[in-house]
This record gives sequence, C-alpha cells and structure tokens, in this order.
Amino acid sequence: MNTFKLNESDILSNQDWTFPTNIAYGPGRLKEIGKICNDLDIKNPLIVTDKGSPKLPFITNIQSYLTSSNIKSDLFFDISPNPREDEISVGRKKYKDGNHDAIIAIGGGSAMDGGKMICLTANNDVPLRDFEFELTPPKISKDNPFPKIITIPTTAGTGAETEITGMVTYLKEGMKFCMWHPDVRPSLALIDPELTIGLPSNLTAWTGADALIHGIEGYCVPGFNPMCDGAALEGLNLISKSLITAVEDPSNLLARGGMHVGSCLAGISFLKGLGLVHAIAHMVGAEYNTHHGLTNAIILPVVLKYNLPGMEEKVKRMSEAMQFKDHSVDAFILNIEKILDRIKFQKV
Amino acid sequence: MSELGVPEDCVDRIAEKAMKDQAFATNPKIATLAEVKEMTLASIKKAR
Repeated sequence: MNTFKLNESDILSNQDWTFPTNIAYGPGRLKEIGKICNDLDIKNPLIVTDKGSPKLPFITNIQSYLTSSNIKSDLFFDISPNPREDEISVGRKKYKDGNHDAIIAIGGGSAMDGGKMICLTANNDVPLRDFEFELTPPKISKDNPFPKIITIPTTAGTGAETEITGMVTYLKEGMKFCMWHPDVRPSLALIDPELTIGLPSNLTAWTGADALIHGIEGYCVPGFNPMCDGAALEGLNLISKSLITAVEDPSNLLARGGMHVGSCLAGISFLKGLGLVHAIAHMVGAEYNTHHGLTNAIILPVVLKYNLPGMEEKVKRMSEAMQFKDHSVDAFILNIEKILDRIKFQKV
Repeated sequence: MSELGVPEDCVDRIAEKAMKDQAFATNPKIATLAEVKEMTLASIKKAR
C-alpha cells in the first residue's frame, strides 16, 4: 500500500475543471474569492459555516479577502455537525434579513450541506421537507431562482462541494433525510488544499475514511454509469496514495492536495447512490450525533464482509486502482482494514 | 460504536430506520431486516 507517488506538478498547480460544475482547484486559491464573486456578480454573500469554525483562520481570511474586494458579507455559523432543520430555518431568516444575494458555504460537510439547504428555501416559501429526495422536486420559478452558492471544503471527505444534495436531521423523528433539487448545484467549488493543513489528525482520518467509503460504496452501486465509476476509481487511486501521509504528516501539501481531489471525485461518484454503510451511519448520527466519517469507518468492515462476496470483478477493479497486490475479496477487505488500523481507527 | 455512546438496545430502531434511508435502496445486495440488525449490532459491539 502507498508505494506509488502523486504527480507533484499536477497536484501543486492550479487547475480549472467544469465537471460536474465549475471547480477551481489549487493551493492558495481562497485568495481569489473576491474575483470569483465579482465574476459571478455576487455583491453581498452570506458566509455559512459550522459552529466550530467561526474563529478559524479560513473564516477571518475569507472575510478579509472579500472586504479587500469591496464585497460586503455576513457570517452564519449556527450549523451543527449533523445539520438540523431548525438551524436551516434560522439561516434562511438571516439570509433574507440581510438582503443577501448568494451563499458561500465554507467548512466540512455540515457547513456545505447547511448552505445548500438554506439555498433551497431562501427565495421561496416551499417547506424544506418538500425537497426530500424521494419526492418530485418542487417547481421553482425562473423569476425567483435559488441563490448562487459557492462551496469551499476545508476537510477532504464529504464530497459535498459539487453535489445537489444535502442531509438534514429531523430531531422529532430521529432521522436524517436527503434533500435535493437539480438546480441547487454550486456555481463553483473552490478546492484549496492549504485549507486542510491545520486539520487535526483524527479529523483528517475520519473525514478521509468518509471519502474512501464514498468511493467504495459509490462504485459498488449497481448500474451502468461509467462517469461515476471512473470518478470512483480515480478517487480511490488518489486517496490510497494520500490518506496515510495526510494523517501522519499533516503539513504535507502534496498529500493534502491528493486527498482533496480524491474526496471530490469520490463525492461525484456517489451520484449513483451509496450503500448500507451510509444507511446505518445516517440513522446512528441522527440519534446519537456521532461524527459521520468515524461512524462510517466503524461500520465499513462489517458491511464489506456482507456485500463484497460475489462482486469479484468490481473488487478487482477497486483493488487495482488502489494498487493492492492481491485482488481477491478477502485481501481487499484486509487491506482496507490495514488502512483503517494505520490511521488509528482502532483507538476512538 | 458502543464507545461513542451508541447502546445495543437501539439496534431494532436503527435498523428499521436504515432500511428507509435512500442509501439502502442502492446497496448492491438487498438486505433483510434481520441482516441489517445483525450488521448494526456487530458495528456497535465490535466492528472488527
């Protein structure tokens, strides 16, 4: 494991992609946020982050960059690690009271999901629950579209930055629900691996394991979707090259970059869907407010042992992408467990 | 997950809810309630 290398000139240089939305990747690109807002005609964004982040450097930095570009903004940070419906309502009110014209969601998955959920209801009176994944998406007037949203992940795990979905916890039911709308896709995802340099090792491991699981579960979903499957395999490739180094050498920008792009690709891959790891983890998180990535990682080996026998071809493809030597099902599960052991998942 | 404060007596409830999750529907194998309970319990007691 981890015997092959990332391409330094690729990972450490700026890249602009357009699939599945506009993506600005590169170390230090948070500095471009003022220009990005100007290009998108954003004049008064609401910055949305989670409760643990308002005093972190990336918040003061983004506020400073916006101010220096003469863009006013405000900050909403009442988003829990597992975002709740009542928090979305408060954020919506803050958006409307501040006459904002866009949202910049910066942080981990909770901040980005929270930002997207505020977008869903900011310019209309449609109840949030009407955006539930299994329902027909509500019709949104072209005269009153969703606000533009820019997503800026500061962890490499959630993959929420390019997605049109978000998870919301309903406390009364003790359940998480997936909300979505095809038109709520971020206008731009800004992926700056420097933002993850200060992330503690345990959070790097937990969020990184989440990315790994997105790639595995996304790839194992039945159906012919070569774009998602290609993203899953390349995501797994980058994650396998980067995860252990990112945990053990947190200031390694190359590994941080590999994880950030790998996480983004794994996030794209689960457009196809996910699996039992997430189904169980969503409900555990909704009731016990556990960290999503950590919960997923604990459940993963049990589900792999149930799911993978009989899926030899897919296991071989994932195993090749991760450059394991033995491509059998048993060896794949063992190698995944070795990665989890190495990033210290046995010690909670 | 017991070390995270997840008790064993939540297994039935969590498993039933998990089967309503959107991710359950796209799992490569259609698990029975008994199988989901078994995996949930194993994850609470000792995942590996």
